[in-house]
Amino acid sequence: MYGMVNRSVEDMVKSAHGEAMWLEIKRRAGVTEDIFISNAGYPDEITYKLVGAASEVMQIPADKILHAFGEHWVLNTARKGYGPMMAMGGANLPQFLENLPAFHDRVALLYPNLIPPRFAVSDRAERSLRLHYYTERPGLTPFVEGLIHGLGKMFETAVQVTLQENRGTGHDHDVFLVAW
Amino acid sequence: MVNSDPDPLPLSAGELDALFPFHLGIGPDGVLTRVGRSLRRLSDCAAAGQPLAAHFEPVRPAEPFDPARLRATAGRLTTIREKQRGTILRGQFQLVGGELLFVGSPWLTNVDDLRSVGLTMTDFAVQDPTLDLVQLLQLQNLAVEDLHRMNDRLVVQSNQLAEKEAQERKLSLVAARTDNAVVITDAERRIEWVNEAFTRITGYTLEEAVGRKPGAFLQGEETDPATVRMMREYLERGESFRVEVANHRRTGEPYWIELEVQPIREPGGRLTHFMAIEIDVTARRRAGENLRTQVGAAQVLAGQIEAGEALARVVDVIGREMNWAAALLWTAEGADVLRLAASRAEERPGAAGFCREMAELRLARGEDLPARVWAEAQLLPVSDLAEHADFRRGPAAIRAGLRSAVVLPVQENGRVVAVIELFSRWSGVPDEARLDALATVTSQLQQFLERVQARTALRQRTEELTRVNSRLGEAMRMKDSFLASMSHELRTPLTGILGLSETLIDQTYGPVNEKQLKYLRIVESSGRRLLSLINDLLDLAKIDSGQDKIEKSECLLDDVGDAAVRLVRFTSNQRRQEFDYRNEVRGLMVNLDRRRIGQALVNLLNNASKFTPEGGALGLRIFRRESELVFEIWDRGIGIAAPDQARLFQPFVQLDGRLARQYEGTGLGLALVKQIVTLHGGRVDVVSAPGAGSTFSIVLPLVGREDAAPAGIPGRAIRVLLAEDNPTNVIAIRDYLEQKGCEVTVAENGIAAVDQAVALAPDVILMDVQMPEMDGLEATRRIRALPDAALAATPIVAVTALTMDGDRELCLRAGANEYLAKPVSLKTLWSTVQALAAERPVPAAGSFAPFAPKGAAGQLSRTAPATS
Repeated sequence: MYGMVNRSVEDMVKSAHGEAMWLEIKRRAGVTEDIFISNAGYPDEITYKLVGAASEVMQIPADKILHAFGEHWVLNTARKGYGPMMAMGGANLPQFLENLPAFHDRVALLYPNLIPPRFAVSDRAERSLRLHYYTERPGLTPFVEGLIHGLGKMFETAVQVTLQENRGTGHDHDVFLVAW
Repeated sequence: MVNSDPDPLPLSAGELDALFPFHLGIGPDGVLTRVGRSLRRLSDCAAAGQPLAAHFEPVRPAEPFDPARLRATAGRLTTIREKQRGTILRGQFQLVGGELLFVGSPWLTNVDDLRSVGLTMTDFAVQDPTLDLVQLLQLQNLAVEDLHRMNDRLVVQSNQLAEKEAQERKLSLVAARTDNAVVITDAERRIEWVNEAFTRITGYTLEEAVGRKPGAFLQGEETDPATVRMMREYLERGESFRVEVANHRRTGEPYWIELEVQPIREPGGRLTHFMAIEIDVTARRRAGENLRTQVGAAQVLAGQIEAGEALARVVDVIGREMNWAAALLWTAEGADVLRLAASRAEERPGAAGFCREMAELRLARGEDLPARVWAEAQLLPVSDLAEHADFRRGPAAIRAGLRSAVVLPVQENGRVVAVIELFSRWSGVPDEARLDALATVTSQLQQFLERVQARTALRQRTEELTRVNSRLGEAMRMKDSFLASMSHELRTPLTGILGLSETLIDQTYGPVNEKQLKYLRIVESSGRRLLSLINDLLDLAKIDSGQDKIEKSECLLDDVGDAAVRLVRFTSNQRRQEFDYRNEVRGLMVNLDRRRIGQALVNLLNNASKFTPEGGALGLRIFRRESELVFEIWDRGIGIAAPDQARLFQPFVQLDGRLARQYEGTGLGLALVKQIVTLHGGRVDVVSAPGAGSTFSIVLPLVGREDAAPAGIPGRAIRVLLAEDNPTNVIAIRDYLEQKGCEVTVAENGIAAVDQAVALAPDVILMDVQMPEMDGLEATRRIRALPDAALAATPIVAVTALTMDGDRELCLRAGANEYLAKPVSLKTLWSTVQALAAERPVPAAGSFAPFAPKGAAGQLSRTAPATS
C-alpha cells in the first residue's frame, strides 16, 4: 500500500490517543519506519500489523478499528490526498458512488505501482444501489463499510449499508446494498 | 508510401460535444454559432447567436477577437477567459470543415479551482487529462508536504543529535577521566572501550583490552562462585546488577572491585551494549581484613589460654582473615634453633605442601628469614623471594607458587620468643596499613605473653602466700584459744580478789581502820589494773583477728558516763586533780555497747589524768550537738604536737620513748578507743597543742531517746537463784546481793540449778556457764523447756568467764536474757537483777505471767529468751 494509508492510520491514532500510543503501537507491530512517504509503496503487511497492534494496544476489535479507519480515510485523508478527484467525484452521494469505478480507474493510472480495488454499481434505484467491491486484499470489508459511512457524512446524507454478499462466505467479492 | 487523405470525419454536434464538451463555434462575423455542453455549465449566458466577445475575452494572444486573424492563426495555443466566472480556457482555434471552432478545457491547477467551477468528472471528456493533471499536481503537493515534514523532522532530530553528541562528549570526558574504571562491551560482552582509569587499575591498555571478554582475563578465583553464577544469569537476561568481585591486575596481583553493570538498549529495546563501572574497593576490603584480624586476635588473647596455643591461634587468624597463602609460626627450640610450631595454608595444594616441608626444618640463629628476624628483632618485608639472598627455601616456595613474604618478630620482655612468617602468591610489599595492622597484632601478642608471664608469677606468689596465711591462721587460732583459756584462768581469781576487796572497802562486815582501808584500796586498785591489762590484751587479740564486734543495747546514758567517772575520779583525786564532770543530757536512753563505750571513756579519761600534772584540771562533758552525741574529754596536760596527732591511734605507739618510761601503758588504749568508736559508726576528734592540753571528742550518731531512768525495784525481796560452782564467787555475789536485800539461793551445778528453779520459782537466775555435771548453757535450755510457762520464762543472766567472740550469742541462743562477763561488777550485777525483776510481774496468786520483752520507751529492751 502507499504510504498515505499508513500515514492515515498514524494520524487517526495520534489525533485520538496521542504520540505515545502511536509509538507503542509501532513498537508492538515491530514497525521501525519513522516517517511514511505518502506516494511511496510499502508492503501490505505493515498496514495489517499496525491495525493488529492498534487493536491490542487500544483493546478494540480490529473490524471496529477498520470501520473507523474507513470513515477517517474519507473525511480526512482522501479529501486531502485525492482532493481533485474527491472534489470532482460527484455532487452528491449517489453520484459519487456511481463515479467510484471511474475514480479508481484514474487512481490506477496515477499510481502505477498500486493495485487498487475495483468497484462496480448495479441496481441503481431512486434511493439505493448495489456497490460491488473487488479486491485481492483480505479482511478489508469493514474498512469499505466505514468508507461508505464516511461518504454519507461528507455529503451530509444519512446512509444505510448492508453487506449482502461477502468474500468470507464464498463469494468472489463483497456486495453492499447502499440506501440513503 | 501511399498518401491518401481519408474522407472528412462526419462529426455530429453530439459527437463534437462528447469529444470536446468545452467547444465554441464562431461565425465570420464573430458571432457564436455553437457552445459545448460543459461550457454552457460554466457560462449560463453564452449561447449561439451571441457575440463571442460578449462572453469571452482573449488572454493570450491578447489581441481582440478578429475572426479573420483567428482563422489565419488557427492551431496556435490560445487562452481565453470566460467572463461570468473568470475561468481560463486552454485550447486552440481550429478550422474544421470550413467552420472556425475553439476546442479546449478549463485550465485548473488546484482543488479550489475545481470546486469553484462547479463541474464534475462527467463534465470532462474521458480523454481529457485535466483532472489527472490536477491530481498529479496534488500528488506533487503531497510529495512537497512530505518533504517539508521530513525536513522538519530532520531539523528536530539533527538538533537532538547535536545535543546528544554534546552530552555524550561530556559523559565520555567524565568516563575517560573518572577515577573508576569504565568498560563498554558489545552485547556479546566483548570490550569495545575502556577508560584511562581501567588501564591505571588493571595495567591493560585500551588496545590490549578491546575484543576480549573481561571475565576471561580479569576475574579472580577468590570471587564467590555464587556471585559468578549470578553475574552470568543477569548478563544473559540483559539486566543490570551490582556485585563485589576479585580481579587480577596484569601483574597477577589480586584487587577487589565493586562492579556495576548496566545494559544499553536501542529505543526499540534491542540490547546493544553493556556498560560496567568498576570501583576499586581493595583498600576498603583490606581495611576490613585488617580490622577483623585485630579483633580476631584480641578475642583469642582475651581467653584464658596457654601461650603456645594463643600464638598458634593468632597465626591462624592472621592467615585466614588476611588471605595469606601460608602463615607459619616459628618458635625457639633451645637457645639457637628455630622450629615450626604451627602453620596455616590456603586451600591450595601448593601452600599446604610447603608448610608440610617446613615441619622438619630447623633454622640456626641468623639462618634464613625467620632466624634472621629472630636475631634482629625487626619486621622484614620481602617483595620478591627469588631475589632475596637470605631466602634459602626457594625451590619449595616456587613449587608452591609463593612470591613474597612478611616476617614478624614476637617479643616478650624485650626478647624475641617467636617469629611469624607470612607468604603471598604475589610479588610486592604490603601497603602501610597492612604492615601497621600486623605490627599491632604482634604488639597484642607481646602484651598477652607478658600478661601470662606476670599471671604465672602472681599465681606462684599467691600460692606461697596462701600457704603462709594458712600457717598464720592456724597460729592465730591457737593464740585465740590460748587467750581464751588464759583470760578465764586469770579472771576467775581476779573476781574473788576484786569482789572481796570491794566488800571489805564497803565495810559490809564491820569497820576497818584507815591503814587497812588504804591497803584494801591498793589491793582493789592493783586488781583492777591487772584486769584492765588483761582486757586490753584480749581486745588487742580481737582487733588483730578482726573479730572485734560491738553488742549494742538500750541503756541509760547516765550509767555509762557515771561509771566511767567513778573509775577515774579515784585516780584523779589521788593526783589532786580538779575533775569537772558535766552531763548535759541526763536521762537520755541510748543504744550502744555500754561496756565498750565505757571502756573508751575510761581509756581517754585515764590518759587525761595520766598526762596532766598533779594539781591540774581535767573533765568530761557529755552533750548533744544536733543529731550527734558528744563525749568531750579534756585536760590541761602536756598536749600533743600536730605531726604526732596523726599517729595517735596507731596500735603500740607511744609518742615519745621517754614518756613510755614516765607514763605506764600498753600503747593500745587510743587504738582501742578508735576501734570501738568506729564500730559504733562514730569518730574521735582531737584538738591539742603542746603545753595547752588536749581535748578528745567521741562523736556518736545519736540513736537513743531522752527518757526517764528505769523503774525502781518491786516492793519485796527479790528471789535470786545463784548457779555458781566457785566458792569465792559465791561468797562475793551472795553476800553483796543479800546485803542489797535479796533472797539468794545457791546451786553448785546445772542439775541443781534446774531443780531449784522449779522448786523456788525465783525472780532471777544468775547462771555460771562452766559448771561441773551440767554446764549453765544446758541448764538454761532445760529451764526454758519446762512445761510451766511461767517457770520457763524466768529471767536468766549468764555470768561467765567465756568472753571470746560469739560467747554472748552462745548464751543468748541457749535462752539467757542477759550476759555478763566475769569478773562482773557487783553493781552492774545488782542493777541487772533489779531491772529483770522489775519487768517480771508479780501475780497475786503467786504464779508468774510469762516473760514478755518490752521495747517501749523507758524500759530496757531485752533479748527474748530462745525457745529452742
